[in-house]
Amino acid sequence: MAIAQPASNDALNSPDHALLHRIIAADPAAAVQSLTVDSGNIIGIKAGIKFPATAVSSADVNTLDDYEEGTWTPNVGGNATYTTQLGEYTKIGNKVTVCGYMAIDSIGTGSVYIFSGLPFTASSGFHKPGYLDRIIDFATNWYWLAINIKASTAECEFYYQDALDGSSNNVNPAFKDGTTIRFSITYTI
Amino acid sequence: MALTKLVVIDSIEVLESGHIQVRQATKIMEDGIELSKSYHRWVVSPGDDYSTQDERVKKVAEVVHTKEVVDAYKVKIKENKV
Repeated sequence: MAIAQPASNDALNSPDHALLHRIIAADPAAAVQSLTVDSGNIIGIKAGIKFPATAVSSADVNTLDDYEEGTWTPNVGGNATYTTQLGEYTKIGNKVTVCGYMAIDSIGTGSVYIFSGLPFTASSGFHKPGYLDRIIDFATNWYWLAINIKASTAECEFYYQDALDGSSNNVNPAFKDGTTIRFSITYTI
Repeated sequence: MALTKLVVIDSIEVLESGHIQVRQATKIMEDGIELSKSYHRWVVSPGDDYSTQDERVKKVAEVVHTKEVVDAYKVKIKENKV
């Protein structure tokens, strides 16, 4: 069932059309309806859903309260220099997906295993695991390597096993001059 | 018909933990009407050097990032080794 377009002269407080006036396109004579509801109560939208620029957050677990896209800049701090620093994010509700591409030219006084610049602070509880796509010129030889966002921070940390003793650590450096990483992480805020 | 580019810090959000989430909006305007907008974000954590931040962010950080907040954050990070 499609929602009927209200007549242009319907009063906003009309019991039948009050809500429709608020949710249907400004032009009530438009041939294409901007919003429909079918017999299964499925809502159809012709364009997009626009959330307010400043999110009105909801504690209700069934409510989608925000959407945002943007960029961020991965960095290791200090006086490090880069040939590439690119980051993108998409936030849907309380879930943020970031992807990044960072190529260090000179590490200088920058961190050798943590990078920051993330667009949102991660929730507390546990570190949020991520996915590494490409690493070039990692500073330490490793058997396995993991990346995660530390709980309650906007920082990303590397963990790796660099010996066959089964332990993981990040005592030895991960980054050096020329290190390049590409990665993606989805985390809760 | 003049196009202008406007870069503004349009959101400074302080979390309970003391993190300051900053959003910069870049707007392309034509005769005062917004044609497009993009966002860039970052976070200033307790203990971070905020001396190079935007003046308003700096003012917020001066108030929020007290020694107590910074110390509490350091303790929390140590507890979060999971």
